Amino acid sequence: MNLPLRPAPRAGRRQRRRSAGQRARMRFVAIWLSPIMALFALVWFVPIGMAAWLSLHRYSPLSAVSPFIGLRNYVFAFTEDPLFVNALGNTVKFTVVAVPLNVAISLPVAMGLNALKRGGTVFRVLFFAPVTASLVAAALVWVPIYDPQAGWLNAVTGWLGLPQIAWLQNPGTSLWAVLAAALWQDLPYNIIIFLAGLQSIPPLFYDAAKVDGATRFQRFRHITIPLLRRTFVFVFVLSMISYMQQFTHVQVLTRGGPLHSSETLLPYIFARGFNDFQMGYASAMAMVLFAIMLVITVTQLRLMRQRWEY
Amino acid sequence: MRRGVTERRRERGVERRFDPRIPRWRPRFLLVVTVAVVAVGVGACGGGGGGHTQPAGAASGQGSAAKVKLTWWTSNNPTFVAANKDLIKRFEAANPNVTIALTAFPDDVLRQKLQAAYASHTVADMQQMFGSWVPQYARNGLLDPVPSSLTTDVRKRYWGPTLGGYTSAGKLYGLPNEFNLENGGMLANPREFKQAGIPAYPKTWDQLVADARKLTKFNADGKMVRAGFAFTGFDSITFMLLAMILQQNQSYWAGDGVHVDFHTPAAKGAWQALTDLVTKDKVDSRTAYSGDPFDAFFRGQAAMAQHGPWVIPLGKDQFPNFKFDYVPVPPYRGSTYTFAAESGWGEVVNAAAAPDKKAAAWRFIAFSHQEDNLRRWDITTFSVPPLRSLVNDPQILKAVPEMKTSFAVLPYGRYVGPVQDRDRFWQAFQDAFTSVELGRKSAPDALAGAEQQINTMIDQHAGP
Repeated sequence: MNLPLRPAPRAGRRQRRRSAGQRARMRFVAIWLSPIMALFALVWFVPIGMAAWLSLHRYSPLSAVSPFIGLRNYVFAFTEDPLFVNALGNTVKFTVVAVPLNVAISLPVAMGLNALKRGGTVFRVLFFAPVTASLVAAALVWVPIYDPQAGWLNAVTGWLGLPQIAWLQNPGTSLWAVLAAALWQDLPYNIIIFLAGLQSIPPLFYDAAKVDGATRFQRFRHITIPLLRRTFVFVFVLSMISYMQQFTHVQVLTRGGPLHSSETLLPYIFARGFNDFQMGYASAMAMVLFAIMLVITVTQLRLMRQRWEY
Repeated sequence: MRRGVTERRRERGVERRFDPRIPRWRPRFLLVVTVAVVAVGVGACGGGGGGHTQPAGAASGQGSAAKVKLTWWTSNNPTFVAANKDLIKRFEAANPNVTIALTAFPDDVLRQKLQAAYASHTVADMQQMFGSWVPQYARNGLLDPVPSSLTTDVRKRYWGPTLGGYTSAGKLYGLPNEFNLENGGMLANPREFKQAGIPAYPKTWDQLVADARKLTKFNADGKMVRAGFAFTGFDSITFMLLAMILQQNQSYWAGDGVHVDFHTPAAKGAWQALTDLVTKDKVDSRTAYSGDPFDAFFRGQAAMAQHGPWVIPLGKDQFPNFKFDYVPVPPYRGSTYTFAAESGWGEVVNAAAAPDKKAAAWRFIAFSHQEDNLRRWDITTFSVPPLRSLVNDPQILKAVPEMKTSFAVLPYGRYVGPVQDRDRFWQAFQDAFTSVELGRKSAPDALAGAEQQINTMIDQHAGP
């Protein structure tokens, strides 16, 4: 099957000479972007820099002295704080399961919505509704669902003859129960993103493939997946960042328990920083999380880089 | 792909704007404007905090009987707000040169806001703090010591545990409004007792366990559907353990007074008895219900629930038709219910506030701690009064008859001690208890693990 794809022009390594008009354009862009870039630096780079600096100190906001301790906060986190290692492990588990699951569910739903001839708008609104709810309120919805005695989920499992489980009170299920609640609220966002991606694929590709005798799966495999590559990058990166920073659902549903089985990194950092006044140590843990997310994001962007357009 | 007319026009417009023939002053002018805007913005950001804070020692209206405007941050608990506003109204009427601006925050927000505001010197002149929060601030010199005029006989007037959290290096840094009580009383459902054929509430620990066993119900699958004695909440486990140790006339503090020691026979015995309630006696289960024991109690999922008296107004408010009693929890050993208590809500003053504001703040605190005013505050907020003189006070008992149970145990309360990070201290026991209930650890191992965790936390509290 021949698709009318053309390679994107690759930027040459040699600096091309710019015309006076181009130079003026670049200057204009630089000038008009400087306020927003300055603001960006103020609210983003400066705090990150400050967090990195604080992570090298024994810093409590209430104490007048903050001795410089080098990398001791980092060493302590990895060698002497099992709760940090546990929280990091839970965060990784959560992300590794939630991101593919999210994509695996949201893409087919988006394709279904895209295929709808009538009522698509109504379904889009219905599907998007959970995203518009407050995070805390949406998380609280799951408390009665997971209730060990009167919970709806146990009512269903009981009806099916399955064992009754204390979903949030059992260390074996608590993290996954939180994940399901978080997933429920996050799915619609990615459904809409995928839907937008699907709608931007020109129908002529599918028409040409049909003429060539391509099956539905072949069209999905050879047209939909490649042409959604940019959408995939967007969804993977944003979902990964969102799940690595999981906070609200954990706090509302389990507060990290039982036995820290559902404690992810952000609630742990928050507790050490804001409840325990160990802001230097909390900053070190935040920098570790930042570094992990940065590495994964850059890797994802590089691996999924697209060198052609349609 | 064919581009639209609008797009082409837009591009032409951009090209025209960047035509090199256009004089260069425009971009430069824009650059100057941009830099000026950013500079003003940054200046405004930097100046905001400074403008908000008055330098220490600067008196507003100094040199005259000028009006003093105090700022006061408090909890937004509706009963607290009502009681605080009532105090302000009466104080301002008696002191026309002082006005108090009250700002109320949810407890967790207040906790974090205080930390940030003290660090940035933008805190209110006077704050309502929970006793366990005070040591961090007092240790770092952020709070004004209570003036000597208010400390006369203070140890005789107030119950000891109420002052413990407000005391640092022998100095007092605030005055408590309440005796923070989590022990000594429990909710009991009279209907369940009657149905089970139990004529009276338990008077001894053994009776408590026996009654709880009778009151516990399981379904056909063996799953607990009603706890006989619900106590596995975050607060209750630790408070009960500490009380059970103290009731054996033993301490949980090591000889240095800094670390904890749960290796004593008293601690081991108490812990075994406490964990036996879920592993052997099976009168409660952490997986039987969601929420706190009092939630389960008012939902009919528990026949008894160990809690402080603060749950009574919640029950009356949210379950007005639910008939319940608030009765004494029998001591584990001995005849008196000795227990450990944290210091509760009270007032502190910002050490960096202007002298006239500090003076006015202490005047207000002195006013609010007059016996009549404290009585009024405690009745409105359903708090246990911190003053010894108000124990068994007829007016309080008339307004809140259930307080009788709590009054009876107050003489046996002791300050919990330097727990450092209260949440991590309590969490260690919550985790230990859960691991025993789930069969992941033996009771002695779990207790030893909790002790180690707590001592590590105490050692590293100021950071690793």
